[in-house]
Amino acid sequence: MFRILVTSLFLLSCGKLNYSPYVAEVSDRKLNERNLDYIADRSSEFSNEFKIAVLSDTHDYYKNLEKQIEYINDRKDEIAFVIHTGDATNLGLLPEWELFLDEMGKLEVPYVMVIGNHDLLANGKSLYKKLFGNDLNMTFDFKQTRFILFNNNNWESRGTVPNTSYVESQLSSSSQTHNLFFAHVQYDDPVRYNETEINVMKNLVSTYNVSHVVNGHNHNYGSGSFSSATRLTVGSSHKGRVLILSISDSGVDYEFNKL
Amino acid sequence: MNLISSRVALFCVLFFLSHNSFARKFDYLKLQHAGEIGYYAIGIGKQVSRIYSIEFFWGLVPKEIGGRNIETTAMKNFWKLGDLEKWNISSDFYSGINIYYVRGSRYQTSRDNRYPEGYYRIGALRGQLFLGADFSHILHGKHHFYMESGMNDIILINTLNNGNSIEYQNYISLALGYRYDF
Repeated sequence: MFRILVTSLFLLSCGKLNYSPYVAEVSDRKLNERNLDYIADRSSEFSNEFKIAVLSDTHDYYKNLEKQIEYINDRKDEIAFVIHTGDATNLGLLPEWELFLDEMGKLEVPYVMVIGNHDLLANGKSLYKKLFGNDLNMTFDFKQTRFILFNNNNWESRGTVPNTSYVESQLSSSSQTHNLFFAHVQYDDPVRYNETEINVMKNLVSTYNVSHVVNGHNHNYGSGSFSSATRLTVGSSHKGRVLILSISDSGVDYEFNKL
Repeated sequence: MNLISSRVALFCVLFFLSHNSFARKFDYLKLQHAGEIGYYAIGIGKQVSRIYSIEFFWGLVPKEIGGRNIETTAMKNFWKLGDLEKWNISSDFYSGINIYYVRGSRYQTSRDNRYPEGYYRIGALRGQLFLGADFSHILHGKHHFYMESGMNDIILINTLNNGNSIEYQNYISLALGYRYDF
C-alpha cells in the first residue's frame, strides 16, 4: 500500500495542465519558413550534385521514424535537406503533432513538410499553420532545381484543391533545370480525382517538363509514371526505407534505401 | 450570451433548483481545471460503493484559449487505492478511467459523408487513465481539493507500440479541482 501511495504522489507531481487534445491553438513555430532559411544557408555547403531524403506517412510509427532519422543523420553531410510529404498524424490532434515534432527534433538536417489528409482532420489545419506556416503550397529553389510542394488533399480541404493555378505559376516562372512536385496524394488517384482533374495535372507535367512527381498516401513505396514524369511513392515509415533523390545537372536518380 | 454560456447558466439554475433531488441521487459536486476535459469543467458524482465512484462532467475550453470553443462531456470512473490521515488532513488516493467525448462535426471523422465509409476512425471519443489524490480537512469534510495525473489513449498506445522512442513522461496531463459533498 505504501508503494502505491508513494507512486501516486510521484505521478501527481508530474504533468502539465492540458485543457484538451482537441485544441486549435499552439504557439507559433513556423518551421517551414525557418527551415527554408536553413536550407538556403546550406546551399554553399553543397555542389550541384546533392541528395535529399523524402519521408512520408510517419503517422504513429515513431520507432520506425527514429530509425529513418538515424539513417539520415549518419549521412548529414551528403543529404542537403528532407521533405516530408504528409500524414504526420492520424487525427490531426495536438498530442500527435507534439510526438511527431519531438521525434523530428532529432533530425540534424533541415526539413520542410507538406500537409497530408490525416493532418487536416479535426483542428489539424490550424495547428499545421501555427507549427509550419500559413502556406499550404510552397516553392523553393535549391541549386538547379525547383521544388514545388502543394496541398492536393481535395476531400479534406475547402476550395479548389489542388490549386493548379498556383502550380502553373510556379512552373511558368521557373528557369531551373529540374522541376519536381511533392504532394501527399498520388496525382492520378482515381477515387479522389476525376479524369478532367487528372488530365489538367498531366498537362502541367508534360508542358513544363516536370521530371519527377513525388507523393505519399499509399503506404507501399514504389515507382511508376505520370504523364511524361517518373512517379515516386515514398512509402510509410514502417516499410523500413528512405527515399533518396540524387540530383545533378544531368538528371535526378532515386533509390529506396533499406535501413 | 452565447449558446455555451446559456448552457452553463441553465445547468447552474437547474442544479440549485433541484439541489435536494440531486443530493438524493448524487453525493457531490466537482469543479475541475484542465485534465483534458476543458479549461474548466463542472461535474456531479456518486459514490457507488466503498471503493468505486462515478462522475459525469461537462467541460469547455473557450475559444480565446483553445482557438475554438471545445465542449467535452466525460464519464469518470474511480477506484480507491488507499487513504491516509495525518496533521488533520484526510487523503484519499485513487485510480480511474475517464471516457470523454468532444462535440462538433469536425471531430466526427468516421461519420463525415465526404469520406467513404470506414475511411477514418472515430475521432471524437478518447480515453484516459489517471491517478488522483483528494485532500480534505477532517473538521471541514465537505470541502475537498484534488489533483489528478493522467495519460490519454494516444500516448498510452503509442508508448506501448514505440517503447523508448517516446518520452511518455512529457505527456502526462494534470488536473486540479474542488469537490463539495452534499
